Amino acid sequence: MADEYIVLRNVTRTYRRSDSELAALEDVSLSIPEGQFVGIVGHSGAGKSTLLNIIGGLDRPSRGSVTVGGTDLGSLDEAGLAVYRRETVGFVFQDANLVPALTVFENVMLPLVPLPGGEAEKTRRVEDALEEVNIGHRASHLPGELSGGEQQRTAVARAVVNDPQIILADEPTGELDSENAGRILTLLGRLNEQGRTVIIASHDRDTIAVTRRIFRLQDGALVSDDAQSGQPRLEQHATGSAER
Amino acid sequence: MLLQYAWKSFWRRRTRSTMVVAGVALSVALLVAVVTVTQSVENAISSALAAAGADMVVQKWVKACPFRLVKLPPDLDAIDAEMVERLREHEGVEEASGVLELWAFSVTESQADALQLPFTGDKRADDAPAGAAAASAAGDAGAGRIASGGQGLPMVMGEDGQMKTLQPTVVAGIDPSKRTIGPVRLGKVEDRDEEDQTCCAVTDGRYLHVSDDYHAMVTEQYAEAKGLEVGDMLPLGPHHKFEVVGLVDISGTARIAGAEAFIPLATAQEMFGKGEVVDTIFVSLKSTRDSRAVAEYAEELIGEHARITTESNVEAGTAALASVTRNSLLAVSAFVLLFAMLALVRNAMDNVAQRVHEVGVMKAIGWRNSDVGRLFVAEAAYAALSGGLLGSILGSVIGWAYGQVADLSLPPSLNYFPPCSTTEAPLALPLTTNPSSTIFILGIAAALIIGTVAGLAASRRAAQLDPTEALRRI
Repeated sequence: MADEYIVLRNVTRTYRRSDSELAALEDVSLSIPEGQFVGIVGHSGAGKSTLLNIIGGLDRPSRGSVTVGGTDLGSLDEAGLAVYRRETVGFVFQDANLVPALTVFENVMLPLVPLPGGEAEKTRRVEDALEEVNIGHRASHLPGELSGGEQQRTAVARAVVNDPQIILADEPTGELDSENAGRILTLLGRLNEQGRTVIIASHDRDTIAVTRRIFRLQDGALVSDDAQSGQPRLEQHATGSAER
Repeated sequence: MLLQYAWKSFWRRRTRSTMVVAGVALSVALLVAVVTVTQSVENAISSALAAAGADMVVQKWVKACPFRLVKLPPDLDAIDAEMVERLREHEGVEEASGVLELWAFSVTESQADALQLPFTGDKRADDAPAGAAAASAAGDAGAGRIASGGQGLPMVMGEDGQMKTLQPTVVAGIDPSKRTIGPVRLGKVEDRDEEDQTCCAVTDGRYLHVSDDYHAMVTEQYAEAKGLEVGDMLPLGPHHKFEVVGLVDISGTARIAGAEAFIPLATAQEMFGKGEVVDTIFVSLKSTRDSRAVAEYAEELIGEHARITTESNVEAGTAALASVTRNSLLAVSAFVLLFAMLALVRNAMDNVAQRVHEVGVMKAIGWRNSDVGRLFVAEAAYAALSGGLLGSILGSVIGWAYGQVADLSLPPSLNYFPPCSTTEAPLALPLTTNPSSTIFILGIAAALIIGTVAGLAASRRAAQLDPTEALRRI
C-alpha cells in the first residue's frame, strides 16, 4: 500500500545485560505513510532512539520485521544496510556529531565521499545543502568555531545532502536554546514540506508539537498513536529567518 | 575523494601524525643506513679486484719465508713467466699480466757488511726461515750488531747506536706496455673517470716507458713519507738506485693491487735474480662465467700451492669480518622495523579507539565497512609513506656520512705489507656509499608494508564497531 511507506510489525529489540535481558522495544507495530511529519515522544529510556535506529537501519530488531518503501530491512546485509542509510535516510543527532577535524563544508561532504561521481557535482550539492540551512557563510570554519545552533544546522545540511527520503532526528533540539531550536524545527518542517518523511524523537512535548502525528512510547511499548489535526505548531518556535 | 579526506584527516591531526611519521622515519632510516653501508662494503670487496683491472689473481704460496735483502713477500713463491703466456692462451682469458712484487731492503754499506748476506740468488738464505737467517747473519756479523726483530724482520744497529727494524719497500715490477691490466690501472689525472672510484692516477710526472730500466713510480704516501719528488733517486735493495719519474695515487685501490714503488718488470726480475719469474698474475676474463674453468686451468698450470683469488675468494676472506657486522645490523634493523610496525599497529588501533564516535557517524550516514576500512588504510599509508620518504632520505645521508669517515679493513691474509710500512692503512678499502635508488625504494616499500599492516588492523577494528554503540561513545 502506498500509504504504508514505513512499516514495523511486532518489532522487539532486547539487549543482554549480564544474566538478564532488557527490552528496549517490545512488540511495536506501526506504519507511517510517505511524506508524513512524525513525532516520537517518551521519557528517557522509553525506546525512542532504538526505534529511530531500527527504522534508520543502524540497528536490527531482535524479533519482528521492518519494511521501508517495500524493502524488508531484515533481508539486507551490512553493506546493503549501509547503502540504504546512504540513499534513503538522513540522521540528525542530538549533539550534531560533527567531525571536529573537518570544516563545515567537509562535514557536509562526508556522506558523498565514498560515492562515485565528479567532485564538481558533489561540491554543488554541498553548497546547496549549506544554503538550504543558511550556513554557507561558515563553510570554511571548524565545528569548534560554531555555535550550537550552527553546528546543528550543519548536521541538518549533512543529513539532506544525499537528498534522502527519510529524515530521522533524535532529540535535535536537546542542546539548543529556544531560538535555535525553533530554527531547527522550522528547517525540519520545510524538509517535510518538500515531501520527505521526517521523524523526530524527543522527550520534549514542545518539540514534538510541530509534528502532525505523535507516537508515544512507554517502557519500550507503543502506547498511543495520535494524529494531529490542523497545522503543526511551528510558530511556537519559529523566529527570525527560520520563520515560514 | 576518499584519499583527499584521508589526507586531511592525517594532516590535521598533526601531533599524532608527527609522532607516527617520526617513528617510521627513524626505523626506516636505520634500515636504509644499514643496507647502504652493507652494500658499500660488498662493493668495496668487489672493487678489490676491479682496482687491479682483473677478475682473478693467480699466485703460488709457500710456507717458508726466506730472508734476503730483495725477496718475495712472505708466503709468496715465484712463478715462471711463461705461465703468463700460457694463461693468456686460454679461451676464457681476455688478458693476463705478470707482476713481480718484491720486498726490497735498503741498507748502508756497513749494515750490509754486518748482514753478510748475498743480496740476490743466495741459496743458503733462501732455504732458511727469516728469523733463523737473521740469527745466522747475526752470528756471522758479531753479537750486538744484528738481531731478529718483530714479525721476522731483521734488526740492525743504526748510526745512533740503537737497534732498529729494517723496513723493506714494497716494489711491484710491472709491464710498462700494459696500462689496462696489472697491479693498478694507471692513467693521467685528466683521464680519470669520476665515476670509477677504484681508479688511480699519475698525479705528478709520468708513467713508466717501455724503455725504462732503473726508473720508478712511487705512491704519494710513500713519497711523502720518504720526502721524495719526481727526479729524486730512490735506493731499492742494496745496489740499485731508481729515478723517480712519477707519483701515483693508489688511495682508491685495493691492497691486492698495490705497492709502494712501481718499476719495470724486467728490472725487478734482474734484482730478484731468478730469471724471468713473476709472483702474481692478474687475469682479466672474457666473462665471469669462465671464472671456474680458468681457475681450474690456472691451478693445473701452477701446480701445488696454487692460490687463485677471485671476487668470491675475497668475499670469503672478508666474510668473517663483514658478515658478523652485517648480520648484526640487519637483525637490529629487522627488530626495529618490527617494533615500528607494532607501534604503528598500536597507534592505528588507538586512532580507531579515539575516533569511535566518528566511525559511528560515518556508518550512520552510509559509509560501508569497506569505506571506513579504506579510510584508515589510507591514513596509515600516508603516515608510512611520509615516514618512509623521510627515513630513506635520513638513512641515505647517514650511510653516505659513514662512508666519508670509515674504511673497510681487509683480513691480514690479504695483506703482506710490512707491519711498519710507510703506506697508511694498507688493509683499508674505501667505502663508497653513493645514494641508491634501489635502497631508497626499499625503505619506502618497507614503510608501506608496515603501514599497510597497521592500516588493515585498524580497518578490521573499525569494521567490527557497532554503529549504535559507537554513536553512544563520547
